[in-house]
Amino acid sequence: MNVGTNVSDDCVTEFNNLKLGKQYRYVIYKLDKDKNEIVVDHKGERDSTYAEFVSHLQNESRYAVYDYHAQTDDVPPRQVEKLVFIFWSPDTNQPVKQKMAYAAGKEALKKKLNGLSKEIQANEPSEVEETEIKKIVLN
Amino acid sequence: MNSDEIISVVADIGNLYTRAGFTGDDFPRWSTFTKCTETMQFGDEALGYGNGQVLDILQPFNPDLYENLLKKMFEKLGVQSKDYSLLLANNFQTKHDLQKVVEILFESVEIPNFFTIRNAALSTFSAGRSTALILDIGAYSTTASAVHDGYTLLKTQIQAPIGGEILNEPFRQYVVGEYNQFKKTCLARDIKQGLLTYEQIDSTQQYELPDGNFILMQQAQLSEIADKLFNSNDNFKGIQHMLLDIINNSVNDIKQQLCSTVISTGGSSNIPGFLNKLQTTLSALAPPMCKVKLVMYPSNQNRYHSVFIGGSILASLSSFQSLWVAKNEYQESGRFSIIERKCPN
Repeated sequence: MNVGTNVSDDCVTEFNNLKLGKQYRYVIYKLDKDKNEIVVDHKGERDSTYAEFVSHLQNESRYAVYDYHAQTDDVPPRQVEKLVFIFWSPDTNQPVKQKMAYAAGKEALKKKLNGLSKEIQANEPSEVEETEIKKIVLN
Repeated sequence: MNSDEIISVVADIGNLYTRAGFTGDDFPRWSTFTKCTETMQFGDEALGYGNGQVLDILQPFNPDLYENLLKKMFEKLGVQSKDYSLLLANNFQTKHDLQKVVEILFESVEIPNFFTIRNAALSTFSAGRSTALILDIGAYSTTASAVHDGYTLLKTQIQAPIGGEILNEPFRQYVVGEYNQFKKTCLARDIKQGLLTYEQIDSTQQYELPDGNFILMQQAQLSEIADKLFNSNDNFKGIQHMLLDIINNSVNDIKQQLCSTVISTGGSSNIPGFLNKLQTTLSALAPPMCKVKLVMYPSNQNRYHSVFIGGSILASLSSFQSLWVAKNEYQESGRFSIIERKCPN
């Protein structure tokens, strides 16, 4: 359900820089409370590691797009590349209102990002481990 | 709260309880029974100590009594209905009933703006999620729903006529005294809440009655009563099967997400040991690739009020303010059709 949260133009621009320009490995978005708008929080260089990405997911909710590359177990192995949308919503001491504002704003952001293949909703670190992403991408 | 934040009224009018309050609050300021006396009195004092009949406002839906309840609600909240938008949780069985209520709200109660959204979606939001498998154990019925990105998937929604109230029955025998039916049920409900448990602890549980006497019940007896929610009979499959049916009828993409985001709401979810039992029972039956995970609310109180809280937060978001259906929109554009268009479900 789209509650009409605003999405800054930057969000789409940087997404396209990732998707088409291959400039980044990931883009992390956050909700700017004052402006009630989703904005870019972090961009990860193309050669960033997954661990670097996860280090940005702390006690506050975030949205992210990660360009994940994996190899299948086939012989010979196939290369799979997928754009994964990650909704990070930790069950920490985040105020419920903030958690909910993120949950409600998700659709507004997803609508603007064309080409997402998979989506993960993660509420604790184990749900956003690399093994989880790999599983989703290879399925 | 900012001084320029607009306050609205949020109401969850259930079959047994009505909860209403303001956006931004985490507790409904007015909580009452969805019942009234023949003389339109509300509240447990009037209902419990009167001699006349106690009238149900829902079950079946009574528009005149419902209108009175709405007006009483604004009075009890201490505000003029003309000045406050209303977010009403949608638990209506038919479009017709909702249509009638919207008409009453705009034309008789005269609210300026309206919005409605399914109970299940509000319970999901109040747990900070937008996708979840909701088990709402109400008073007279239990509803299991899949919510995906804020939309309640009505096609797979299942409702059963078993709820918390049926668990009162075995405790009625302990209610002695000259009380009317309503009061007797309230007392039986109190005893139930004091005794019922799924936990295999002491073999005897005791409860002190208002008159100083004690009720002693065996653990086995209590388990048998509590298990009514899980046991199947002619017209009920058991809550675990209601959830399983939804899981199995859902598309593969969201199956796993639903399994890992199971939310139980409604007072009966607070019975000691219930959540553990639900987790174990469901895990044993879930399809292999689905890991069952129950999502908890920050406090047990939330289970009574999850719908209200979800509404309170949703309607306080500045991004939500553009979604209200205004009175003039309603009047100018074919009335109910605008509700269907602007309120997803």
